[in-house]
Amino acid sequence: MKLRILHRTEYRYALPVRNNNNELRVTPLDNARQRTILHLVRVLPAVKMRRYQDLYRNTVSFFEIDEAHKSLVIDVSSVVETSATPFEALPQDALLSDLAKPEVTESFQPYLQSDGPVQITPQIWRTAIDVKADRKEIVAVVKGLMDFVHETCRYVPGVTSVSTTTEEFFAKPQGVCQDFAHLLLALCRALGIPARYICGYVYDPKRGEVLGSHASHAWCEVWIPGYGWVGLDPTNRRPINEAYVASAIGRDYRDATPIRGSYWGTGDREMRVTVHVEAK
Amino acid sequence: MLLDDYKAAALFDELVDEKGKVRPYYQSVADRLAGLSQEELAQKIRSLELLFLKQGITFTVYGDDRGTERVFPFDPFPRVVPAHEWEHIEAGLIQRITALNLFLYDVYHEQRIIKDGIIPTEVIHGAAHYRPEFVGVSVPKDAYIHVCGTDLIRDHDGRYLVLEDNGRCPSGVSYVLENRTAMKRVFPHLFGGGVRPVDTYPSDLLATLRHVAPHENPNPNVVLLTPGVHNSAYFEHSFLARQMSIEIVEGRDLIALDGFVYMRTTRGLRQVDVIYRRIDDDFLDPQVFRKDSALGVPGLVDAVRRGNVALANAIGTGVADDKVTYAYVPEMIRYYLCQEPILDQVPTYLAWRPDDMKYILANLPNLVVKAANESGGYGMLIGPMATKEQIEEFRSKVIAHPRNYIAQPVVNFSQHPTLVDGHLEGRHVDLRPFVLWGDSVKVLPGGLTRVALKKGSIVVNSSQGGGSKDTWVLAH
Amino acid sequence: MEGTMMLSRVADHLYWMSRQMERAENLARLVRVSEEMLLDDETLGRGSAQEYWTPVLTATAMEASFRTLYPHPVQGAAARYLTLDQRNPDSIVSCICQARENARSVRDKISDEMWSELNALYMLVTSAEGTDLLARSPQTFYDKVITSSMLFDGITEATLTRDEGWNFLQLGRLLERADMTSRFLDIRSQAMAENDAAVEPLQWGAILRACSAHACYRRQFGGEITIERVVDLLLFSNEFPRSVRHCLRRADEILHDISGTPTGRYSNACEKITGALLARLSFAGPPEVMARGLHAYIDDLQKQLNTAGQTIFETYVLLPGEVSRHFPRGSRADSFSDWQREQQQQQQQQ
Repeated sequence: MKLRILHRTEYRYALPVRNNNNELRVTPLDNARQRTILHLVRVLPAVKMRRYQDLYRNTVSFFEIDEAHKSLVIDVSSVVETSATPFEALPQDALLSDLAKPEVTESFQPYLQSDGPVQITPQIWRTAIDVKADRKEIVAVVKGLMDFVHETCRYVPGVTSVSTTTEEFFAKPQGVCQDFAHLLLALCRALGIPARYICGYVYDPKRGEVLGSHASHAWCEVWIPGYGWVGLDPTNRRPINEAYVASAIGRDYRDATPIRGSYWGTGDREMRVTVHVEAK
Repeated sequence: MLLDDYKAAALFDELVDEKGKVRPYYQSVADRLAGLSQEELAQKIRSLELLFLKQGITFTVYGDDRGTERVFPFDPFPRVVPAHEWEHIEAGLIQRITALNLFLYDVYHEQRIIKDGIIPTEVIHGAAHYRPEFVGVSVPKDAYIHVCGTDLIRDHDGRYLVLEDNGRCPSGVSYVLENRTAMKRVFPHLFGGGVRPVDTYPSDLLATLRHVAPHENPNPNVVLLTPGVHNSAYFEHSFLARQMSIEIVEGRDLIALDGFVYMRTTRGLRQVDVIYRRIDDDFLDPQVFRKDSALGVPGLVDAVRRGNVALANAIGTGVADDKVTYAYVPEMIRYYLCQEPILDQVPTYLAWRPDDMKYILANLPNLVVKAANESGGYGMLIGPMATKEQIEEFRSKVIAHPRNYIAQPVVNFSQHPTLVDGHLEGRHVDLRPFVLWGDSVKVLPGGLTRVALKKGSIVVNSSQGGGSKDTWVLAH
Repeated sequence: MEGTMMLSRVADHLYWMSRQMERAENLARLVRVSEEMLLDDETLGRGSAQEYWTPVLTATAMEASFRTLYPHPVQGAAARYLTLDQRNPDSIVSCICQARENARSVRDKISDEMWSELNALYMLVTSAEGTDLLARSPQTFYDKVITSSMLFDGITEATLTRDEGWNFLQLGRLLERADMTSRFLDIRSQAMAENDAAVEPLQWGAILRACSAHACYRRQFGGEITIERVVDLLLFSNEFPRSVRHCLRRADEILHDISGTPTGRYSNACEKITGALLARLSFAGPPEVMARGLHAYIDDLQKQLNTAGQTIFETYVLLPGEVSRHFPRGSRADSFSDWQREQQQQQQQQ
């Protein structure tokens, strides 16, 4: 499927600001599942753009505006061709016990930790074991965990913030895709399944059916031995399909934040974000 | 049979590969065309010509008093662009127009690219179409080039190269639409499905124009400003206005009062919000530019400055399609977008750089020399085809005005089979796709394929004996 | 309101497009019937054949320019001058060229069919084929021009939206038709004044034929043709579609349609002029004309028709305060429009 993504962020500053430094993680990943046909980051005022790759191989675009300015527009447009593997095609017989090997725990250490917003509290750990019950296959277990998150939590924007932890969210399970993803990460990691945070975009052909499509979206990937990383969207309770475009990977939200910046200035700041994903 | 005696030349041939085999994406149209008898073909070509003449799809050749109207010669063998090539072209064009618009914003604001030493100040200041008086003036949605026609050619490896960007008032899109209409009417059986339609262009153009309406006016009055019926592109102006259902106006139809622009109607004045202008900057406003302009609107520029009317394309875009600036477009792409150019371009020597000048003067007979600010194939020297006198004439011109000249190696345009006296011969072609810069960027899936009808010629401009072809972009 | 608004220049172009088409048609009618008469009269010598054209040239206000260009006219010179000579800004070909130029300027406001018809006629009369046809069979040539103009009228009727553009287009045609019908009468009036029996140009019957009024005349008055009855039909008839009164009545209705004022009252200068002219024609008849003298009466009528045309231009095309500013239009290319044309061509081709 060919998807076109337009992601626009506009800042208006009541008073001129300066030394505005921004880091963007908005470049679609290039992997077996998705191929980038076009990707442009356009910033106004016009700036010199720079790029590097971070630890997670995310493409980071960064720029700075030293002179005083009152507005900043970041326009990201991408065209990506996606494909997807159906859930049934995954190795259903990979076992949890396959993960309990030192080479796995060592190489995926960052994706097994309890850290930052992903807190594996005793309660979450207990829940993970309960949901697992006596299932031994990874695919079946993560599907069960995803179903659990989707059934337990309600999608309510505006209740949580970027710093909400799984502990807080689990106590009052109302939040957005990022909270859903963090909770699923914690549940998977509690059982020793390597799980990472994905930031990206999702296409909603019928407009209004897919949660998270009006802004950047977040979901998880778990690692299955003998296969690789598999995407799961707990917010919409489904495996990743060709409607998804990933743009950043990390342990949690902090590693994959789409736009992060700082500037010198006082006064109010107004921000407007629009995301459009359309099939081409 | 039509295709049997077709001979590919040593350079890149659009139809057949180096082994003389028809390229797979041409197979179906070639077969269908070959199925026509000579008489059928001749008959169809006659009806095509009649169709164009009857519709008045003509352009004007200057030189004589009245300006002779001619039908733009049309070749019925369509040019086919496969989907994967188009994907590459499209991405490259979007990247390019993005960089050019950022460049124009920068040049008319902070000029960071100059301060960072990427483009020398002289290049900008020496461009004939640079408008220093517009530094610091903002335009709606920060859009400068709303409509761009980029000329592409293919070298002997079939690589697409950008020959030039036309970012002021590019023309030719009406032929793209009319060629398609005519082909569908006269050669319906050639279309095997899978050719991407081009007929959304007028509505896309209108959306692009409405997008820049001042004061976020949801129902703007958009007009097309034409120089008038004697302009060679008048047919196109009238065609587009009609397709978009907007008024086509001349300068005398507009009046600027207190920083607003109005059109004169039989019921009095009506405000104008967006002007798709097809006249040069120089003629827009006699109060600001050429004092003797009989085509412009006194006070128009003031209304533009005050943000009460939007012009498409904006004033001063000529600094971006200047032939010297052209040499720096790859640098712009690297600077503003931190990417490598997707589409390559022709290596360019700039006469004002001493080393380049030496090279140019030593190699004049092998180079194409172009005046930096001319278009339409005027002011150009094609070294290998020029006489000694012409070369010497350009030598002194280049020495006298180094900033005004650039030189490029002769690139062998690709050739495409073209009907000449009932049989096929290879003729050089280029491709002009059209890009619209609005709420999103749209590239019309097609374009104007221009053919140099004279054997061996690489001048494809309609004013200099060029013709055109329908361009088929395949969906798969 | 929005839908009915129209660029003043567009209104002007539409007006002149139809006006020049009508003029071409009427000239063709005039020349066709004159040539017919000339053929009938085998006794006419070469010299008198020239004299024969004089009233035609005078009535169409082309005599002076003809004498300048053709100080020693050969046979056929006058007909050629009236028909194909592009140096004559009012020749049939010139009128068609100008009609087409006007149409080209409003190409987006007229139907494709209208354009095709007009463009086809233009291509015929400017081609070698057209010249050949005129030499071989002048009658066929003039018939083509007349039929094409009538076809254009019919296509307009059948394809053009009834908006303001339509109204201006009708105005041009009606005013020109009124003007030309009066000129047809004037040809005979001049012959009467010269009172020279040897040179007997157009007969009244021929004038009726030129106006396609023969059948109508017979139905109304029977066989005998008298000057009063011809004047009655061509100037005062309320029913005959080419009569001056009929044309003016229609023009008056259209002007009221444009402004939205009820007929019988006026809201601007052009309605006032056509209204007054119409009233004059309604309350007069052949006796008044004969008493005044046909030529004098027609001369006066034409002046007022001119004023009506000028007033329409001033009311709808020029803005208040701009009346004195000259807008180049139609045939008489002045230096300003040449200059403008040059600049239109100077635009850089991208």
